[in-house]
Amino acid sequence: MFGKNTFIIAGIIFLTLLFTAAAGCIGSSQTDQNAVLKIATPNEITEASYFGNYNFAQMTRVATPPLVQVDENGEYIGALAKSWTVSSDGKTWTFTLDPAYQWSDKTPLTAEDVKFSLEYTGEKVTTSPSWIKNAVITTNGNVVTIGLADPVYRLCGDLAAINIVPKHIWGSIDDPEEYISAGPYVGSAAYYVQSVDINSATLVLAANPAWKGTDPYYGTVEIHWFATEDAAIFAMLGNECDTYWKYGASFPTGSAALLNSSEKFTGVETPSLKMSYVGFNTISSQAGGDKAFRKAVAYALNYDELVEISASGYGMTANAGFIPNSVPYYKETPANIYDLETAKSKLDLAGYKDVNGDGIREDTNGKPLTLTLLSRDKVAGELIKEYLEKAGLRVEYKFASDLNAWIELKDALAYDIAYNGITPKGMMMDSGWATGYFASNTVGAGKLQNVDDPAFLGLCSAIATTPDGGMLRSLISDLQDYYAENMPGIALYWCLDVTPINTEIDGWYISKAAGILNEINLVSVHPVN
Amino acid sequence: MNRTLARKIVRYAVSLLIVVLLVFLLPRCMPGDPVQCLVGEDVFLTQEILDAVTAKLGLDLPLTEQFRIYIGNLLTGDLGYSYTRHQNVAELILDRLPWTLLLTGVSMLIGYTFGIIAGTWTGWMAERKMSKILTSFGVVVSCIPPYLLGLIFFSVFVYQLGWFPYKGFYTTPDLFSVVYHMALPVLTLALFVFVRNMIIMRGSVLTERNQLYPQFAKSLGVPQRKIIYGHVMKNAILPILTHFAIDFGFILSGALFIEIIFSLNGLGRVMYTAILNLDYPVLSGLFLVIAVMAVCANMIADILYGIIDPRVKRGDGR
Repeated sequence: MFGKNTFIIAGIIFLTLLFTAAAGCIGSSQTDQNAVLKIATPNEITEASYFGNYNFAQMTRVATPPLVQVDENGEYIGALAKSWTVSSDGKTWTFTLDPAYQWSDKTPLTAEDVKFSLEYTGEKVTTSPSWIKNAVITTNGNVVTIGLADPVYRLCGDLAAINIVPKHIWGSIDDPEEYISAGPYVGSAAYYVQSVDINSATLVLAANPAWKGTDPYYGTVEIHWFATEDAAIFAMLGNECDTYWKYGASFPTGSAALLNSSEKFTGVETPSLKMSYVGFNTISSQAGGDKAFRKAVAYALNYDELVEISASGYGMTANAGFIPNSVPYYKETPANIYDLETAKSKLDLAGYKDVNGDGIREDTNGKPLTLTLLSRDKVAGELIKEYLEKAGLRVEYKFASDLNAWIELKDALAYDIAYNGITPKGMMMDSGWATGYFASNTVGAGKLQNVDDPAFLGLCSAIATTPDGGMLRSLISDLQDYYAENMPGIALYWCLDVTPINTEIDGWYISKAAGILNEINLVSVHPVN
Repeated sequence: MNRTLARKIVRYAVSLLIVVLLVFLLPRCMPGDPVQCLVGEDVFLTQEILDAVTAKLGLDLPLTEQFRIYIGNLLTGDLGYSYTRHQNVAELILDRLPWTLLLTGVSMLIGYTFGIIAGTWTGWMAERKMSKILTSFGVVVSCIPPYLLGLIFFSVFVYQLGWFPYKGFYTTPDLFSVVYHMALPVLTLALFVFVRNMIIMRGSVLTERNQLYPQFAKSLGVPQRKIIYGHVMKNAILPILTHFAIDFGFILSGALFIEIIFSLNGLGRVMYTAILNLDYPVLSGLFLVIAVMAVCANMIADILYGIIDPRVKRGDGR
């Protein structure tokens, strides 16, 4: 029925189609396996412990992404989860997984992996969120449902910090924090961790062959860590690395001028979630517990000078409502203004007068007053001391040179006024919106825990158990009013983040929380030409 | 002589016992809470979590009970488990020790060898112009803070000239890469050891040069090279031996400043981060190993003193 020629022609057509399809497949992959993106960072990995080392966990978030991530505006968007819904009572969260994510060893990623990761973290990781232990996690196809005992506003924030790891790998590892391996680690995003070597100070991410999303340009991403920021910056400016990254931090603002003098790099400024503030000991300090005194001090601080000197110009003067304008639910409140004469008159009115005429103010009972100023930043602390002295206050300055000294002094409430900084993660810890730094019923090394006012603690409690929505917006509005009215802390300046951009590379995407080391950026960056 | 040796051994044994007590107590006398350091600053925490971590680390036990456990573990060779590095302390030290020895050991070998030779020469030929130049160079270098000199070298030879790599023990784990990466850190550290030993040796040789025996040897027709390197150097080397014993602690703690500048993950930085994080087991383990090594080095120095200067062996020098 069919002649010999028919078979030959059919064969030729078949082979042509086969080669065309194969060529098409090869052509559709935009990944250049030889292209390497090198990132310099001062965040060191001191041991190759995926769960035990903080910096390793931050870096590997691009290889084993969590369900959600923070976008360039500080909002939560999907990562492993394509979408999610929340029930009206805030207790049931349903996540639908993105099929683009597949394990790099070709094992399908399932909802069971997500369930396992959440439960595994809750059970095995020391500082896991407490709600996981009381949550009921169920799966159905590619959908994961988290049933909470009580609503948790910060659920997305917590989920953004939990890497989703393969059950078939980690299921047999009993103590993940003590598990050390140089890799490879199976990942699910565009890249997986190929190796980590603490002797060469290098983490290598390789393109995930099973990834079904947009192909990244770079076949390999190398993260090189350095013991100092200076060395990392030198490596970048010396063309050893293509860019610079530090978790939750800006490029050192003191070195930002180097970017402007470089032909290859430019600095991009973005509003940060970070800020600096002074907090008052409202619990055991007579002056710190006096609202009128706190409000008077707010006029004594030279905010513009603090921005110029302490933040090297990379900051914005803040408002009385405390939280930065880049934080969700921010609202306008009166600006913090430096006016020394107003500060002096307000101190007089509050009863802090120079009774004996020696130029130093006494307390409200006319007794000598010496304020203890505690600071974690030497320069900022000295500036604040100078401002307070200009207002006629005697100041004893204690500089906490390291974390341990700081913890000892602030836990003992051995201060009247304390200078501290707020990190992006800290901004949203506990009940969020910087409340974690003030509430006396919290614990932690960075926290002042200096406010035991029931009104404030009640507000914190309400925020913590209210899901997103109108009610939460109203509570955050009340919180900013509380900050402005009671001033348990005074915002000194809101920070600006500086991100060095390599002008020979295009497609940069800067996450508000993770900076340039986020999976969207790693997929989007490519050479300009 | 045997009684002298026995007395010294008893003295070293007592020193070790005191060291064991001190290495346990000293880290615990430092201000701060290791649990707070471990969990981090800006995390959601409850008192229950802190209590659980404290109990897990055994820090809720009375100090006497902690010491009893420490001694019990020590007798079985167990130096404990690092709070922050998630590793057995003995394994951690053994893992980092070869790299630190590579850095400090080679640097000291170069620095001591050339320092002694150059110091002897500059001391003997003190009037020569070259000797004066070399001595001035030594004084200038030894006056520069080590950290600053390291930064200058890093800036010039790494950043500006690109002759050496920026960081790490290697790029790929092969001999050439290790040598390439370690060259500048070793040279920087060796330079310090060199100038210090040269200055010490020079002073010592200047003193010896004015003794009668070199002149007597010269009058007997002994060649100058033999007088300098066979007799004078041998007698002048005793202060160097003392420094050598002291330097053993330095070997293990590593050259912290060099490790920081060149991003080398050696024992010095292990100790530095352990101090910052109040990692008691790592601190106790490292202090103990350093102390034991220092005691051993002192014993070796004692023996070498006896060999080089027989008066010490006879007890004449006491």
